[in-house]
Amino acid sequence: MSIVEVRDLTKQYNPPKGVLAVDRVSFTIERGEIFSLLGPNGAGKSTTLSLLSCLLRPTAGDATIEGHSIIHEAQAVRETIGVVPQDIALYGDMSARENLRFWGTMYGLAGADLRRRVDEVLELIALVDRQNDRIDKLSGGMKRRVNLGVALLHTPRLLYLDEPTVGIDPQSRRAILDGILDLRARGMTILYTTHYMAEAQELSDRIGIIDHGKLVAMGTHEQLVQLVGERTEVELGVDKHLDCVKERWSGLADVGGVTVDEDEMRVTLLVEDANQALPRLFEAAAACEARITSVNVVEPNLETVFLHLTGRALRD
Amino acid sequence: MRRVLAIVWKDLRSIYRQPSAVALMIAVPLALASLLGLAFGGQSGFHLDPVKIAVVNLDKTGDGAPALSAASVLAGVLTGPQTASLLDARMVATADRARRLVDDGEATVAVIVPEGFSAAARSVRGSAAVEIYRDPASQIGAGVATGVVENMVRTLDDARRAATVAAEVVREARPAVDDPARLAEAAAATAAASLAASARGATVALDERAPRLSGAAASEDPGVAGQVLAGQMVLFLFFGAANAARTILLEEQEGTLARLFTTPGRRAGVLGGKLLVSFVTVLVQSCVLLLAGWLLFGIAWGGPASVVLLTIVGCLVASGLAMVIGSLARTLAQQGAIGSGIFLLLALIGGNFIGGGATLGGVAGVLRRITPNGWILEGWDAAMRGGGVADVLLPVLVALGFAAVFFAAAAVVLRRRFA
Repeated sequence: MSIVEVRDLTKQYNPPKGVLAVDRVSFTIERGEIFSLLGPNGAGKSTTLSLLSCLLRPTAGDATIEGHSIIHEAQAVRETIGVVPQDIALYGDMSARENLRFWGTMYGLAGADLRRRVDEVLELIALVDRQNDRIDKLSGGMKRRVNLGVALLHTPRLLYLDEPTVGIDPQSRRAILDGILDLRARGMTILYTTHYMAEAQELSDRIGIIDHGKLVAMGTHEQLVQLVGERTEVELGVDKHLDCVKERWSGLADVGGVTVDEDEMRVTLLVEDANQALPRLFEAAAACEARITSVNVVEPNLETVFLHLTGRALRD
Repeated sequence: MRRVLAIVWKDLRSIYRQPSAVALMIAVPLALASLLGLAFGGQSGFHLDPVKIAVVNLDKTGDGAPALSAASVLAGVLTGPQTASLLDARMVATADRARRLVDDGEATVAVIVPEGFSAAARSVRGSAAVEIYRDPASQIGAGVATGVVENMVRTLDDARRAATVAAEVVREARPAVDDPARLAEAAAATAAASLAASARGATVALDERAPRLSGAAASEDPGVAGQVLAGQMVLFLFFGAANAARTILLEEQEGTLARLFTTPGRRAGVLGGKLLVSFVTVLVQSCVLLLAGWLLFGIAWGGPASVVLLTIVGCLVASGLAMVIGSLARTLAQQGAIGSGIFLLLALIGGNFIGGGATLGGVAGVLRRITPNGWILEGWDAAMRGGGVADVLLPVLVALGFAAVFFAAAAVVLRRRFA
């Protein structure tokens, strides 16, 4: 039995004309699985998590967590889940230990149980030495670890992680990713959102690609890459006249998904055969009096999949 | 319940750890009360040192006369116990000596009763002027002394005129008694005796408020310090409550409120905890200010029951209003600006800067009673005057009504906002 079942989940702010943040999203998550929602900023990932955390009420559809409806059995759902929000949601003027004690109380722990779990979590997030330091005084990575630790206090069966590695150094990111894999090894089910392709690829058993509120594809990494078929992603650096180059390349046969990064003066596109396409791309650039400064042929990956499915780069 | 108490404890610790918050809630009202107390001589009530005056009675016509003379009555009242709280008078022998005392700064006013003053007071057409020689640098002291003398002289003059009229009436009505001068003289002597008699029992009061309270102790003067600190306390309770209410916005901005909503338990519990935080914060603030007022300024706040009732209802009103504003505001800046504006407006209308005992007539009096703080201050005034629970009950009930409305409004807005 799936621990999470999402059916046509929809959230529109200020209906009927407001933003459709989540548009009839459906998926399931099996026990012990890491399921990632991958998509650019504003795709609807955090809104989906808010709906599944009972923070927002869906406009339509429903979801069940361990069989409990997020609409009708919010209390039971909250007892099952642990939520790690995207931003640090801690009290800066309290120490790490005080924060854990407070949040533990909020999760219904008390007395010896509370003390034991606080000690265990401090061990788990490797902050025993700094437990009495105010949160304000900790580094960004340490705050992230406490932020994660809070959600683990009541040993939830399902953990939501909303882009937990945003804005932290590589070492802290590595520590968090290893911690997540460790939690999965202990049998915890994890719903993870990210816009980092590499994280989704490394962590996930299955990935859902979300864009403009719609779940455009779902499956294992291998299944998703197969969606691209034989197409190859090519990144080309251009020295000038990006608009002209984009227009001409978009008009070429067997070339698709043309996207432009104006800051980097770079164009990304998908081609059927890079060897055949590259001469024509050079000719078209020359017609615009532009010069190609670099060429990078990329093996198919989630970035390519997103480009293929949405016509846009994941970083847009 | 444990969750609610955890929220209250966490927020209280956070609030009372902020030096700026403690300064705003406790130090500022105490400092303001101290400054105003110093301005009034550091006394618990309005206090003016008795004005030093030198009195000269140059009119010897009454000496040895069986009836009281007007001059001796006037001099006697000025130097007597009836005016001792206002005037520190000394008799001197000559006018020059009296004026010199003023010139040398040893007296503020010299009162010189001229020769023939009593005779003039007795006669139908006589005239005499009491000379007031005053220190031009002294406004209040000289004004007080001059006012007392003018009042007494006017009384004598009025009595003489009344007697003259009465004599005329008697002469016309009873021709047998046809000596108006003798009648006027007799009437003037009677008036002087009457003045002396009334002066013995008279009191001069600066505070002319009409008594409003029942009970034997209902006339106790609460003093300026009590009135001032009560006003400041009620005003700064609003600010203290607002400081606590802002934790909702603060937590909303920092994401901890949303995280609290993802924990097991109802949102109403979290929001109820926030309401309780606001109330407990100002309750602690109130207790500290009441204690400080008692210890530092010797303020007698009133009977225990009245003090408890007024403290609780004051805290309920402040926390309720702060919650309404906090729940309507979208940002901390909005909450600060709107809250400060409303609190100061209420304080101006409700009389926080003049105290609950000040008499406000007309529109000001009506406006004061549409503010919750106006009612609470009335309650504090009654309590400090020694009024019992019965005397503070109406202000307490009205303020409680305000608090109920505020809490209901806050609950509705918060429910809609975080639904």
